[in-house]
Amino acid sequence: MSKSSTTSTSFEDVESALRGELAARVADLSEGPAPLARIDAAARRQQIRRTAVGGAGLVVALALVAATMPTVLADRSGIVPTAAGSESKGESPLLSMAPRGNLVGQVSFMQAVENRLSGYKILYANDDGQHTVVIAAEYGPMTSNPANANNSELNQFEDLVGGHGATAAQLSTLSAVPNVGTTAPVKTYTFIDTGLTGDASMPYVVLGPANLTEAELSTGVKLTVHGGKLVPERTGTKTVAARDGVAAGEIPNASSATKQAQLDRFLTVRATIGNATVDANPDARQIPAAAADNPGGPAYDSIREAVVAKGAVNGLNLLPSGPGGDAVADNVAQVLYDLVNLAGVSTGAVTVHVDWVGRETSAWDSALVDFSAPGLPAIQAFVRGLAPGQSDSESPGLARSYVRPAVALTPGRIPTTAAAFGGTSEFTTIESLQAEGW
Amino acid sequence: MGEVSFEDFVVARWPRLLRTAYLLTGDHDRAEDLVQNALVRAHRHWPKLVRAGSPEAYVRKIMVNLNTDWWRRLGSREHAGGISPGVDRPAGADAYEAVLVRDELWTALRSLPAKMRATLVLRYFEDLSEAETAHILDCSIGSVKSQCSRGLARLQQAMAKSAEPRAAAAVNLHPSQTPVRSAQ
Repeated sequence: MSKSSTTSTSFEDVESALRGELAARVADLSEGPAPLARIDAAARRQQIRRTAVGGAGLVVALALVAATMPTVLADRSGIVPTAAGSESKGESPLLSMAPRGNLVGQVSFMQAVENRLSGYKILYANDDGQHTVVIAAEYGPMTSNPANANNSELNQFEDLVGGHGATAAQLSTLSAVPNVGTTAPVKTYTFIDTGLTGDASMPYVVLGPANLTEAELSTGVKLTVHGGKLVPERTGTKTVAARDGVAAGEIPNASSATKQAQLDRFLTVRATIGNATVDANPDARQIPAAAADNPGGPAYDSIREAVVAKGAVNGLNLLPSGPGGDAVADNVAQVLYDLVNLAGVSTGAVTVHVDWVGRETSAWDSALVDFSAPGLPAIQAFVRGLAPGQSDSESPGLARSYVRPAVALTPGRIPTTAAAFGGTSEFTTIESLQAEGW
Repeated sequence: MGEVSFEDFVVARWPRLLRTAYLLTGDHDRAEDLVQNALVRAHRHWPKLVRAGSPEAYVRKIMVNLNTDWWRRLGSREHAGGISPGVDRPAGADAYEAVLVRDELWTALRSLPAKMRATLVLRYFEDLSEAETAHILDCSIGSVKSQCSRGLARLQQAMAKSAEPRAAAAVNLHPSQTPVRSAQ
């Protein structure tokens, strides 16, 4: 007979049932062979996309501009169209240009590199006195777009780096360079962590068409208030003149984890080609918070608890379980992490005041929260999260939240305060401000 | 750790990573995407990961983080449903109830916040220690403990709820009436 309604289940019973359930759920899981080819193709696309954020990507972007094609930087969702686009092999303005860099005249070196990079065309080879950088590219099938499967496209780059005076054999491919990892500035050949300590610098290369005249690098961003709106501004900018379509140099003191993390998050490049400017953003900027900042600390838990507690006061009993759960609490915590990343401070340095938490509609819970972080203007966030029981069709939740400079505002549901927030998608989250600010 | 090629690692670890991903996501297709995305990220830093000696832990960490990101971006908790695997059709009231309790457990697990669900999966499927789980989740051991405790409490509530109404229903169930529960 079944259990009675008064039967209690001990934690040990739950643990045992959970172990059994987890094992049973995967026991019949369909497991085909590992899709190595798919993963490899995805890795290549990822490399291209990452390349696009820096030098190689800018190479592509600039080439596109030169070819009067649509800017590749508008496509933030996935693979960046390459210089060749749907063109056939040989039409890329980049590959039709002679290799550039001060090592091009060293025949033996170039021959050795060519032998090493069989099938690739060398685009750039240079020794700036601190590092040797070689950039090469080749055509291959456009695996991400079946419609272009028959077209060969500029979609593979090879990047070799080494110290001053390195021979071809001594150069390392980027993936093998020590300390290129999650904390490396940009995982492309544009910025390379050589693994040196102390004041080690990192080389960058912006390789474009002949009418690339200069590149402006920015290594930071700050939020300011203009016209009542939060506006991101590029900081730490440096303008580098281009010669023969190449702007190159070294970022000094770049080996510390802090500096690398900053560059990884905020580095942007703005190139001037003819009369046009082309911006390139590291794709890391599409990620709201670093992996290490994912929910999981006392600060995260405490802010969630504060939201839940305020919700209880305001009449919103956030369910401890069930669909919808405490989405608004998690999203508020995410805004906190976005701010922490932007300000470069610890979570403990951010003052949080939860003004109001409640049920906005049957679909949404919402919270009005004030944040104050050193170096940032006071920010007020109206954060939404799906109400319990709502389906994915209502998502995303965080993207339907709003941030703005903090002003006096009567706490309440978003229908009554949306106007004060602007009520438009341009007032989204800090994440969006970071990613879309330029 | 000797030199392990990325390809060998993928072939060897894919099944286990997929199982973990499935328990994190509750969806086979999404699980495959999750593992693939994690492996793609690992691919970029493979030499460093091999040198560090813990590529699998790193991949698992990425999986958890990506899944948490997805979950957070969606801002929703999915509806879970479907008859539990391993039981084609319950033959009687007790078996039926057992299936439903399992279903409730699975549904409750899937409705947990991503981090809490990950904590339970790492602890009770991967059999990782609290310290290992904390490392992957990038949180304190205390946080792991609290997440575990809160997660188990929610599952406990769900199991208790499922037992209550069905106890009454089972009593009134005619032996010839084999209940059929459609997938939601």
